[in-house]
Amino acid sequence: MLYQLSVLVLVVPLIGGILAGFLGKTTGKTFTNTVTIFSVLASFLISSYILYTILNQPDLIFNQNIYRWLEIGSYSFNIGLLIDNLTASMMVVVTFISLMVHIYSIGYMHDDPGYHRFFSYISLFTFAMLSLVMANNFLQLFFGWEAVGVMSYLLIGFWFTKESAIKANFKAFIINRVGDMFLLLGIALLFSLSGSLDYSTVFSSGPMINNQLFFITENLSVSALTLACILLFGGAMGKSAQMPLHVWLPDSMEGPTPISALIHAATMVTAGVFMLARMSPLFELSESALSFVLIIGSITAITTGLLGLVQFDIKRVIAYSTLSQLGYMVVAAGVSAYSASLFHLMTHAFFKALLFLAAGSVIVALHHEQDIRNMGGLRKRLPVTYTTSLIGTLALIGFPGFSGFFSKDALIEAVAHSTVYAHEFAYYCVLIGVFVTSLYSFRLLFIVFHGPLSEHNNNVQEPQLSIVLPLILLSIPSVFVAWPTVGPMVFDSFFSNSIVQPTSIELFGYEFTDSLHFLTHALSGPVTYIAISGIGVAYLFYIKQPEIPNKLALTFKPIYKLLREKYYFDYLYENILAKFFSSLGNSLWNLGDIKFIDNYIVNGTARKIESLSNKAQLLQSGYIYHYALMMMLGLSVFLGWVIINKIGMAS
Amino acid sequence: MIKELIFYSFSSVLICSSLAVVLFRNPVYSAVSLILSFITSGFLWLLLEAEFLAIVLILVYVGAVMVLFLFVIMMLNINKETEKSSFNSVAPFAVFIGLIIVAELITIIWINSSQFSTSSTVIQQSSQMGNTLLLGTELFTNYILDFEIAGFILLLAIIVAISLTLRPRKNLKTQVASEQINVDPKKRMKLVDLKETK
Amino acid sequence: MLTLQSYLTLGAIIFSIGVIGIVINRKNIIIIMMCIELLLIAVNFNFIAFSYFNQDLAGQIFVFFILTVAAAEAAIGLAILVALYRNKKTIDVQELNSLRN
Repeated sequence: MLYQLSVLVLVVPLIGGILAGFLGKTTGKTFTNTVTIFSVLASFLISSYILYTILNQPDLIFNQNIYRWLEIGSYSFNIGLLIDNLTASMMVVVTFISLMVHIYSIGYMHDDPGYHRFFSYISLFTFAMLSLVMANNFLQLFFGWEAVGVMSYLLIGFWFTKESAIKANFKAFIINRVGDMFLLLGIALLFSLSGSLDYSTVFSSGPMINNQLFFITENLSVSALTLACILLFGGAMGKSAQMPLHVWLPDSMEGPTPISALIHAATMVTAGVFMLARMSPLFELSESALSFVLIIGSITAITTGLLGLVQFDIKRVIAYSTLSQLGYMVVAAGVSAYSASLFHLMTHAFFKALLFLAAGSVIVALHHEQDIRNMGGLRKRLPVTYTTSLIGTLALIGFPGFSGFFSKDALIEAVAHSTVYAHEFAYYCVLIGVFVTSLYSFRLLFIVFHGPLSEHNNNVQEPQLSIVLPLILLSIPSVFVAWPTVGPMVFDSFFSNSIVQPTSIELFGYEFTDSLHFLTHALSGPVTYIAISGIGVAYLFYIKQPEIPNKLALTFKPIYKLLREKYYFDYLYENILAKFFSSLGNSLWNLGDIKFIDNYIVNGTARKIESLSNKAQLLQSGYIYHYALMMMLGLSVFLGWVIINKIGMAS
Repeated sequence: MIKELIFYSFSSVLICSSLAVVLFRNPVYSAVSLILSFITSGFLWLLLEAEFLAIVLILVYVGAVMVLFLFVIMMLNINKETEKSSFNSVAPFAVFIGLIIVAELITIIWINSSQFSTSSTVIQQSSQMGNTLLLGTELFTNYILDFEIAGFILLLAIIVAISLTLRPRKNLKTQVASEQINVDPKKRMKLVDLKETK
Repeated sequence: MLTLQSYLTLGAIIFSIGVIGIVINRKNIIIIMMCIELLLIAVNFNFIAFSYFNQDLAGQIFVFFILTVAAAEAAIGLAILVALYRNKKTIDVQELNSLRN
């Protein structure tokens, strides 16, 4: 039963996407809406049922191969499904956000000529993301990984007539290739060490792999497992946009806003975090890999948050916030608190999707205006959007009682109690990060919704229902989802059948009794006060005395410039790396492709054959006696051969 | 002894006349040389006690086929000698290869001589029954079907030869049976409504 | 002493003359056809010689059929020749090179 249902969850969005893509144009928007939304709805309902079933039957792990895709010697590559608590909860999150985005897109994409294409893409994306999540082997994980990458590429460049969109999707694609190469290398290394791609086989041979050494040169060697983990994390760095592969995510905001919510905030970018959790049996064996993860995560969390302070594009601010939050999740994985990481992933999926969709609502209301300097005072005009944004923002900064509070606090608690190398550094990073988060979040909120209402925004109205409805639906879990779930998911054994991690006492130094107690316990820590002080500073800067930020920018000009230029990463990539590789590629193309392959091998063969056939053509004179002569020649050779044979036999 | 004398004299005539077929410029001379070749080979076949075939060769080939050749040569009016050499550019090479082939064939024949049953005491079987009777008995009993097929091939040759060379006259008036059968009476007569003239 | 080899050698010589004749002649197709008749005679020689020396009548039967088919071939060949002459106004081998293009 579970088997059929899980296949159904996977296949239904695929069918919906294909139908919408091929038949949408001819059958109209209603068909496209209906087929995609109902397929995703069905997927969501079945996922919820599966989660419910799994919750009622603890320790139920469904791990089955559906069919054998390929067999080489003794290695077999299967397509299979792994349904455990981790997968089931991810499925519910993915399909729920996807459903919200589908509904939202009816309104947001209403007048777009690529309406059907859009719906087809997001349904296919849902399929790809589900197949990534539900995989029971690395091969399928890689398939899902690449498939979400492709859909992301297509959706960032959805408005393909816009040059910036094409550049952005190109950038996202190339940078993801870098990460994917690491992932592929990691998978290949694991495959060569364990001889299988199945999660269960690889995980069970983890301790064995841990003892092996990988020789980079004759004398230099590293633990094979550490190397494999770092390579896998390299893949996660690409997909989850960690430093220094983060540059594609802000640019990906060129895509439609629902996409930013679905792909670049809630689901795809968290695939890396999901993978870290999935690979926990391997990462737990390698302390150095965990430290590496921790350092990268904390750098990302703090630096990208700072960048959010100087952005003026409403979506880019949220994008940098996403980067920062992804850093938090990676930090949690780095201190072995995978459950906290996943919990933050879940709550973040809800409130970040909410924030993006709210931003999209503002953008629609202002007729595709994205610069926050042209906004202000929209609180009165867009009350629903304002309220939901406020909820999302409070959840994001971890205001007590909101879902983000629980996840972020558990996460920081875990960092505080960690003993991994560089944990102090990570702790300070995340604490400063909390302040920065609340500062940029409220900066955005204050600038957009407070202050004076500008003249031309006077008759702005709340957008249509299909846009507003998902905001309301998403704000509910943004507030409440953590209350019942934080206990079982973070502290209890909810993920025990899919994740390997230390006990919650070791991890958090705290005995969980109920959510309210956890709330009061957390209030004794510094996190909440830091967050609230961030709000205060934001209030001071952007409402009370708006001239302070400008003065600060002038006083610390080099720092401001550094932030505006995004630490010169783009400059480095574009002007040094890309230039080098494009000139390298050009010279290889000239030398290898044109001169050698095209000119020598491809055309050379043709030319040689032509000249040979020109010579052979001379034989084809058309005169009968020439052909007869050839026959004579053949006859004489044949007879000579007979004679030689005869003599050979006689002697 | 007399047999050897006959063989060698007729063989030399045969070779010479065959060469003449190839070398003469005038096709009529070539044809006449070919007739001589046929006649000499007929004599040689008599030595091998193939009397019937020898007679058939002379009657059919000299009497019918070669006459046909000469007839065609006359009809096409190509019996004139050409000024230019009658050999083409590859001739020396062809002669060279031809000589090689001869040498090779003879080598093969003499290498394999041990395999031939060269029984000099050939039983003079046919002298009692007659070669023609023997051949006829074989043909009409064991080879009757092949004989029939040969007859069909000849019939086919007749039809092909006629149909290839036949030129139908264009102004000939003939019946076309299919058109006569497929006549539609309605098309033969048309009723026309004539208005009354005032 | 007349042996099988003498007859076979004679056949081989006649055959080669026929082959050479086909290749070297530049005049007309009629000569080529005559050369083909020479080739057939050479082959028939071999058959009859084998038939005589092996005392097997099958060889003569075969020659009989070869003569039949050769007569048919000559008739058809000449008919083709006539048709060719009508169309091309020539039977010169040097000008018949439409196989080339």
